[in-house]
Amino acid sequence: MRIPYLPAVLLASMFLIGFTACDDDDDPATSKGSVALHIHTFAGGNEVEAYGDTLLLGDDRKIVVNTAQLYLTNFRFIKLDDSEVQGPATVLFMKQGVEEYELGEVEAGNYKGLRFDVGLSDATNASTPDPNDPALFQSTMWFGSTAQPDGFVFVNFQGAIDTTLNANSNSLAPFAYKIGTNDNRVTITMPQENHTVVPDQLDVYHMKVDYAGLFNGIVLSNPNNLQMTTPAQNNSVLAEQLVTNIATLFSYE
Amino acid sequence: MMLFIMPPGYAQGYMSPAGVMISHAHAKGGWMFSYNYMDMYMEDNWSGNHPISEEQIWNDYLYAPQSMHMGMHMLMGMHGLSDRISIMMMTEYKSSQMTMLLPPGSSGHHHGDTTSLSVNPNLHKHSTNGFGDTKLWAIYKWMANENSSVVVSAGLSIPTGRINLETTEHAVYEGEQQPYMMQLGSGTLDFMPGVTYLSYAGSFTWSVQALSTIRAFDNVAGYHYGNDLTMNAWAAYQFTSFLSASIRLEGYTSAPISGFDPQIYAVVQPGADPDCYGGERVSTYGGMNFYIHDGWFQNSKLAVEFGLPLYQRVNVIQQVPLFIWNASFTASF
Repeated sequence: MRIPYLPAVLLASMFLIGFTACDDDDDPATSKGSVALHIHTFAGGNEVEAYGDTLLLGDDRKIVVNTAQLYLTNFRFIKLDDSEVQGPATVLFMKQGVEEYELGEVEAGNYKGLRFDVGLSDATNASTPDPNDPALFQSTMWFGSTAQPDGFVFVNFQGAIDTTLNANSNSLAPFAYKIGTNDNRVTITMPQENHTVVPDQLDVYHMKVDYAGLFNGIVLSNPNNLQMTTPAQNNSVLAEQLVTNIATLFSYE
Repeated sequence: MMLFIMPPGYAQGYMSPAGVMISHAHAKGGWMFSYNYMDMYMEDNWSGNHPISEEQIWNDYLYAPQSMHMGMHMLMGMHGLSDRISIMMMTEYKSSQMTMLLPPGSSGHHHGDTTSLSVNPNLHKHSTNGFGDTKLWAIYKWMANENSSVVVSAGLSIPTGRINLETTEHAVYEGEQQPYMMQLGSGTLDFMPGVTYLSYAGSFTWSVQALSTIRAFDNVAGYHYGNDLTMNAWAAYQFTSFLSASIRLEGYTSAPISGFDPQIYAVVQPGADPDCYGGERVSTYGGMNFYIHDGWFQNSKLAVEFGLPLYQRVNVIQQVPLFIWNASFTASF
């Protein structure tokens, strides 16, 4: 058989074209979903429905909450291999009476955990807030009459509480805890709970903050343990205990 | 040993296995019609050449594929324009189903499908079916003698299958589009060159073949499948006038998808990620052909073939076939 060379060359050329062309250098479609937090304010297992209500803690100790608010920042989402995906740079000012908090867009994916800071970054803590910033321009979250030079309050929990040993008094003593300063910023890692952030969908983390946890290990009968309102007081044994207790405040609903 | 000679009316490639589309050219005026069915079931997820866990998939994608079943019905007609040139046309109907799973306890099943929620809240099902691309070939008998032939085929795949099927009531998110593999067509005009050598001597036939698909253009969505190459080597032996058996070795290699459809979010599952396409696979098949010599269906054959993968390497993460089987009914005139 005589080989017709023209078809052979054409055929070889087609195969050659087929396997030297078209490597994939494109990025596939990326996508994001939205994340929100739904947070309830609690004191000793009871929801703080309104400031001024008298509630009972676990040992029937009476408490009245007048202020319960804090800053949550630096949200990170933990993937199944323990790597972190940085969340939006949202400063979340959480306070009693407001339950819905939009965090913003997050890379779509499966996450087994959520990590965040209670407090502000060093830079933000040293900044002067813009009057149009609804999160930072909060005078109740400043140590002074302005945010600087003393910085921001990270956790502000105030009210009145029965300080008796047997928790059987109706006479409540005022307390005020203003936790701040860079050293007292706390990182919280929530317990494992799988979440899937779907493109173009809203995923909601349902949480509660039980401020009564701040009293763990605090001797309430000591009047000196009921007030911590200045940056200087944030460097004390009481501050150390309160900061340690911050980690116990958060749980899933 | 008794030799069975090819009966009149049969083409030279009459012993070709069910999964082999092109084996020969027809004589002038000859006609051949066939119905082919290809069935593939995929289950395990692999990365490269080894299985991977669902946890590894969930780290990069929302859903871990559980299984996929694809059936393809193909109707084909072939006609000999001359003793050297035949033309062939094929239309296909595809049916695909796949299931995927979210991580346990995940809060992600957003489409409100209460039926599947009551069974498994994290299980997600997709299915599509419809006509795929239409394929045309010109087959040129390059060389031929008493016992062998070489045919060169030049094909065109015409994009008649849809590439914009949405997941409708099972959507993960509003307007979610089916992943690439679940769409019915490629969306592109593709070239399909091939060359086939066939040797036949009495009861024994063997063949080697190279087929390629060259995809030079993007479709309207902005992507095209990778070029591919299929190498076939098969041998068949005719035991009786009505029965032959075949073995076949198939090698397949393909590049990943180039480009992407912006309506398909890669994060949803590996099948939605253009990088998770292509790779290499070597499969072996065993088949049987049954020949009908009399009556309405004289000069016809019924062929079945069952295949198992011997070696697989996939790009990024893909499900791999557990088995493939082919069936065909061919009538020659």
